[in-house]
Amino acid sequence: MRLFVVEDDPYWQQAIRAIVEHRPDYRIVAMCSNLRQGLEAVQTESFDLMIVDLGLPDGSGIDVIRASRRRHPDAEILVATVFADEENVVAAIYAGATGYLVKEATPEQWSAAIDGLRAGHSPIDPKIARHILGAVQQRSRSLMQPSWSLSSPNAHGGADDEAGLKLSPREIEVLQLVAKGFTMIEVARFLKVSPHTTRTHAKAIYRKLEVSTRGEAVFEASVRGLI
Amino acid sequence: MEAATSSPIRRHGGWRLALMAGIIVAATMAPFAIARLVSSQSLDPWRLGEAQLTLVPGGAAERGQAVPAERPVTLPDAWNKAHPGFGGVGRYRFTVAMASDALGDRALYIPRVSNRCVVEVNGVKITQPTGSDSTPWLWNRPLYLVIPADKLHPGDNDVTVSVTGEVNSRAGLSESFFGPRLPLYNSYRLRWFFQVDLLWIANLSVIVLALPLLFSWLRDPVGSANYGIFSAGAILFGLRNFHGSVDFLPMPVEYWWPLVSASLGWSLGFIWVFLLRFSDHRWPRFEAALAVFTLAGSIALFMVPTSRFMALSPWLWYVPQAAVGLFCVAAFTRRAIAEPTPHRVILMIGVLAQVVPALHDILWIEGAGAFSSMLWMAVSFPLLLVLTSALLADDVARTRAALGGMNRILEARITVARQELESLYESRRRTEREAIGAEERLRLMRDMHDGVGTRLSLLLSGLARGDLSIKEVTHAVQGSLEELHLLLDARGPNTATLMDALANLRYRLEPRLTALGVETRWEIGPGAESLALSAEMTLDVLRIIQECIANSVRHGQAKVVTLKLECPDEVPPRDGQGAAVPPFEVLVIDDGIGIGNAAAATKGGGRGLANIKARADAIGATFTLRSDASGTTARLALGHGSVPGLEAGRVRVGAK
Repeated sequence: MRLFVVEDDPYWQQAIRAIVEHRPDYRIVAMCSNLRQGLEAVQTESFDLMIVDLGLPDGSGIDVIRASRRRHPDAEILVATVFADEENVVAAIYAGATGYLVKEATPEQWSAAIDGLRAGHSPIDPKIARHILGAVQQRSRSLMQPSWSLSSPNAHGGADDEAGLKLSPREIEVLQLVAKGFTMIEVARFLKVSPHTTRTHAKAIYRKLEVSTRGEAVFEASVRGLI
Repeated sequence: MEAATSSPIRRHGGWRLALMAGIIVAATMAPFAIARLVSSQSLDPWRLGEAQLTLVPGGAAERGQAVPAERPVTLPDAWNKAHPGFGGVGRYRFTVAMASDALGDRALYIPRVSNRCVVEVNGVKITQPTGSDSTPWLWNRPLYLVIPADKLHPGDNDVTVSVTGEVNSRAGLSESFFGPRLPLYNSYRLRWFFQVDLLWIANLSVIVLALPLLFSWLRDPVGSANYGIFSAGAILFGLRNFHGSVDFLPMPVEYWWPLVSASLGWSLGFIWVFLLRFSDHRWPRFEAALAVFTLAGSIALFMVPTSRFMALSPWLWYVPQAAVGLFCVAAFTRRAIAEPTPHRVILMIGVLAQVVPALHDILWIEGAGAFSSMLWMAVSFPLLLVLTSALLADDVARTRAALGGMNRILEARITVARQELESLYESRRRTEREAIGAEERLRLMRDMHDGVGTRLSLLLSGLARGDLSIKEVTHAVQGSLEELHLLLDARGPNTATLMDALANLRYRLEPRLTALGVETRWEIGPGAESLALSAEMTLDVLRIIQECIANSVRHGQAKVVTLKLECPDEVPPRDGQGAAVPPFEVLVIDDGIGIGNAAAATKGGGRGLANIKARADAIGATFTLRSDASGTTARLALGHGSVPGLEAGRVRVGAK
């Protein structure tokens, strides 16, 4: 698997290299230490998975995520964060990230997260689930639309299909259960579906939250109190 | 709206006053200049100054009475002066000697004839250029007739002007001219302009200029009553003055004359009241009396017999009107002199400038002036009304400008006030932010003091002594990170309830426990979803629960750890002594070997349990531990009664 890394901290660069060394099937195609390098390399390199740190010295990793999503729509994007705080994680999701990873995790956990992402799993923790639920409910109230619709880009001139931005009732159920602290396996048991199905829902939620343009991302972020 | 009229005169430039006064003087002098302009002296060679007059009383021919004999008369011949009480037809006959070469260039010009006339030359009636016969209703208007050459012959020609007039009407015939067409036509056209066209223009201007004032009054009937009164008088005056321009009688003369006279009284009545109010004289009784007088006088005018109307109407109507007018003008003038404002002074000059034209016209009505003279007030009074309209328009403009100025001042004050308010708010916000920041800092310090701070201090101390192993350092750093994560688990925009915080904790610990082969189970009892504690209490509970889970794994070798949160639906009322805490229990249940069977290497010295109990005591909770070979149950119960020493507000219920 080809990895594209955007990380300014030499320690973490080293840590990631160490992880890759244990996985012969992993190969780093780009190791960028700032936003400029990241944006340039995204245009030239092909990769399967991007690991990106949001706090870069010359800007935000969000811009690299967005550029990557446009240039390589099929690539997975993993946000590396220390505390997995919802502000950064949700902003990254809106930009197109499909997962996140807590930096303190062990090499084994990094490998597991990468493999999980490649297998179609997107982690959603209770904080982020509650954040998404709150934002969706707030938007539903403000737009006087049926519950659980997330149609802000279209309402503000976006060209996306409105139906593509709506969370399904089942996706909402998944979010509600995760918000209450249930694991994906417990959610699957509760909903009487397979764990794979619930993880697919999580992935779908990530995709639906992604907005297509920078203006929309800024708008979404401001509406949700992220900026 | 009329506030601007009271501004002191000294505020305005004297040149404006001089200019307006000059205009008024010029307007007063204008009639004299016009009289000079339209003078017929240049036409003297063609003047018909003497005539043979035959007066045929009205209806005499029908009654078969004998026609009186002709007698010589000098023109102009005003009937009310020369033939008082006569009504009927006056036949004025002239003999005009003609040379053969002048037959094709002759016209008859009469500066004034009233009320109807028929012109015959050598016994043949001459028609008007319009094609009709020469018998329209004429009121103080000139007449010009081209005499066809075939109606004349060399030698003496007989020209007859038959004038029809009502009894005592101001009928008659002015001096007439029979001569070359061009000079007579030029003289006729000049007179037509001043005597007819100018009146049209003046009256139309009065109406047009008064209309905006009327609309102003309609927008604010009470606040701008002066505009309404003036515009009513001016429009009525302008309309009724067109009576001199009609070529026919719209109704029988017995109604027409009273209507024309009464309308003048009404229009003047409005203007007198306006003058009084413009000079701040508010006399409601006088105004009411004037209205009653005008109404009664109007009715009386209609009751006067037509044959005596012209004789009685001046005394019945015009003289009282003039008296009222003089009184109002005097009151206005006095106030304008005593309390002058630019507008009052200008208007006063305009009003006083009416005196000379008024005297002239009164004398003319009474037969003292020349019959062919024009009425001066027919032009001067409309000019006064136009001037007044201009003053009122200026008044509106000044008021508008004053309001605009006041608005600007108010806006400036509002801007300043808003800036001050914003500054105040900003200062307050800053103070609040600082207070919140200080409080948050204090809280973080408090939170970190027992957790990260203590751990890092111990770590530093141990490293300084050099008696820490790598494992111990790793453990200490790991513990510090755990503390930081606990802080995030306990707080956050989307962490409102204890269940939220426990869910965060569980999600964070779950991968690590899974890696150790420990399964976690999660049970939420009824009512637990709405249980909300303060962030400090939540953090303490999380610390206790995390420690219990760690004990279950480390000492009890558990494979399944169940986290249970139970809370009854009902919340007890506050007792007023301390914060009411909703009763709840958090249980950590494992299937381990029990603390008593724990290996010596992991058992520790019981310091962990002591810490847990100390934390539980601090938040007023009860911690109990039941452990045997089949497992351990740690129970943290809180809220079974009020919590001593807790601040109100530290415990919240139903926040979600």
